[in-house]
Amino acid sequence: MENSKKVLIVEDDIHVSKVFQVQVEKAGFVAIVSEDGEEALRVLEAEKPDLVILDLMIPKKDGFEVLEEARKMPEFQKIPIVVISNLGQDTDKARALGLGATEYLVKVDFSIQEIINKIKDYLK
Amino acid sequence: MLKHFAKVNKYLYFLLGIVIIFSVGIVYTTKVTKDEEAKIRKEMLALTQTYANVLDAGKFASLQQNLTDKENPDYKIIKDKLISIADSSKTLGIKWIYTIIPKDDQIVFSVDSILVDSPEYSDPGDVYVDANPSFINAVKKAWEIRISSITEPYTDKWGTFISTIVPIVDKENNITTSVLASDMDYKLFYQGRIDNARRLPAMVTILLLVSFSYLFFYIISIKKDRQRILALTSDIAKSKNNILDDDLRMKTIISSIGEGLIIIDRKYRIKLLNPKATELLGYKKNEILGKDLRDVVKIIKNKTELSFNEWPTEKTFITKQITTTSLEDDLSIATDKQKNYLAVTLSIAPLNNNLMGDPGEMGLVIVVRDANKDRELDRVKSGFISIASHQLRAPLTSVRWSSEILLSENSETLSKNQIDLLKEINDGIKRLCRIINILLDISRIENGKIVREKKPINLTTMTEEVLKEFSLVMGKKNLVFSSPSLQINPDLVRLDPILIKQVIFNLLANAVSYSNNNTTIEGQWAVDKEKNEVIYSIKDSGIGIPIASQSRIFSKFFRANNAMLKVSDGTGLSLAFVKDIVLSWGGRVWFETKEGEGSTFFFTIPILEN
Repeated sequence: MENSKKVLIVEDDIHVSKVFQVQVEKAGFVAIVSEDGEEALRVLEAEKPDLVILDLMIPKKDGFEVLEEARKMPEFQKIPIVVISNLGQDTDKARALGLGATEYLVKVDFSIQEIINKIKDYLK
Repeated sequence: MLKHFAKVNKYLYFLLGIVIIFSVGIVYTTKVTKDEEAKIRKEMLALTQTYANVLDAGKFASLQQNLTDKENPDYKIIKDKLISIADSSKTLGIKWIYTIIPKDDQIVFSVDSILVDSPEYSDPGDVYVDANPSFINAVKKAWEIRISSITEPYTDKWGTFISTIVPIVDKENNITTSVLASDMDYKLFYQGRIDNARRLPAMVTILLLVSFSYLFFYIISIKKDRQRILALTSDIAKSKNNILDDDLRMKTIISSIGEGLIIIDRKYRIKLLNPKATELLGYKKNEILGKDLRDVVKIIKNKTELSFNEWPTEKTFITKQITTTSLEDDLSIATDKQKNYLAVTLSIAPLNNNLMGDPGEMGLVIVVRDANKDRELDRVKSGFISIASHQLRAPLTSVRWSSEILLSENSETLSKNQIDLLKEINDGIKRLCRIINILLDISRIENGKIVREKKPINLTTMTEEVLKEFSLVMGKKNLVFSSPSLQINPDLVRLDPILIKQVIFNLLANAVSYSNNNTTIEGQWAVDKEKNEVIYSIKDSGIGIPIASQSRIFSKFFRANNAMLKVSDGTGLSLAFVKDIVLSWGGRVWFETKEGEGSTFFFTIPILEN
């Protein structure tokens, strides 16, 4: 592996998470997938990833809550958390950024390659 | 007909009354006159008889009724008595008193009470030349059959008289020795007494006539007035009922309005409030009616209490225009009776206070709406838009990425046809995404959801930035963009830069798409000082808009036929979006066009005041 940086993918849609996983691994990173907010926080603490891809509409705890709780933890205050969601309202974006998201991308507006390129940029 | 008859009847009664009173008056006056005449006659007879009795009838026997009587001592005695009688009877209206006797068919004076040297003196034996027949007859009657009588009024050279003729009878010898005549001045005395007697009944009659007339017309006028009053009373009663009905209607309407309604005067005193208002404030009506609203309620904005001069009511008082607040103003009201703040929206209208008893004074009508319902609805709408966007986009994301991966990873193994198909899929998804994004934006604008920061915009610079995005396409079609350089002061307008960019972008995109090759597109900014707005126009020499399509050109998804032929994959949403955005900042949008020659689109931005 070029580098063994870890990317936590928080996404409940299996098809989307599969695509993410494949492409992230293709880019040379380790991909860890969580399907709900509670699991995401557990995995976050356990695996201490280098970057988080966070969907907002996830079960148990939504992405906003995960974001808020993650940023409360000192070790996760600075890691890149990229919100990638199909919620496109200004209020959602503002809220996410307000809670500490590093970037907010509307899923459908970007090609998968564009997203992977951004991840690469963050993990340089 | 009956009314007419009744009217005639009324005046007939009047006439009848007059006639009756008049007749009665005449009858009475006549009676009084007759009674007075009879009285006078009786008096005259009695008086003259008394005089006759006083005179010594025996002494007349010796008289000859000639000048020799003058030497007769009886003559003198009789004359003296007559003179004294005449003196005493002057006040009774008797002018002359004398004795006469009939001789042949004439009347001859016997003793006269007049003094010898008076021109009216008659010697004994002088013929009473002017004696009229009734006088003569009366004297004869007295002389011959001893009947006293009163003559009818007669006129001679001395005046108009009425004479009382009484026989002087010597009872001892049972012979009539003379006839005594007393003449009463008819006009002065007799008529005078009659007239006096008549005066009272005549006056009474006249008084009765006048009183009757007055009373009659008074009663009629009272009747008329009464009718008028009755009519007025009936009208008043009707009006009162109408007012009560209206009042009740108004009260019912006000009570049943689902929003709180409060009316205050210029001093903020509560004049009226409906049940919903009392519910919102937490007070009973009689607890706060008449009180100063500012003592009852606090207005809070964004968790800070507003001072009284910040209250939106003050704005309405000053501008005399309706002030409305929206959810975004984040207003709440608080009272001592309510535990929690109540989120509200307000609509405040000026009220001309003639109704409140202070003509000229202004009041306000405040409609208070519980904003929680609206907030809930708002949340639901927002939620819907969120969910809708998410649910639409999620499957699209899968399809897009899958097709992208297929394309990128399998370009060697796929045939050209398959690659083209995948590209088609990708393009289709991108188009769908654009449509969804525009729809969501439109939906948010229409719901007032897009609230971003407004800034001064350098419109010329922005136009140039947008233009850059089209440089490739314009190059391909050899299109030229001409724009006279007019710098618009950025401080003239306050806009969300994303929205204004979208508008310019959409209009330019259309101009570019529908222009024919090798033509010019003209874009121009201008300021209209009269209308206080900035205008942008963008002119193309493209396909233009057919007349039949012009009325729908701003409708969602509408595409004119010639447009569909030129550009097959347009969304039909860009102009709808332009219209929504322009209207949201209070501008206007319109176009001029000719099919086959081109179109010019215009939109305005209101200039910021001061």
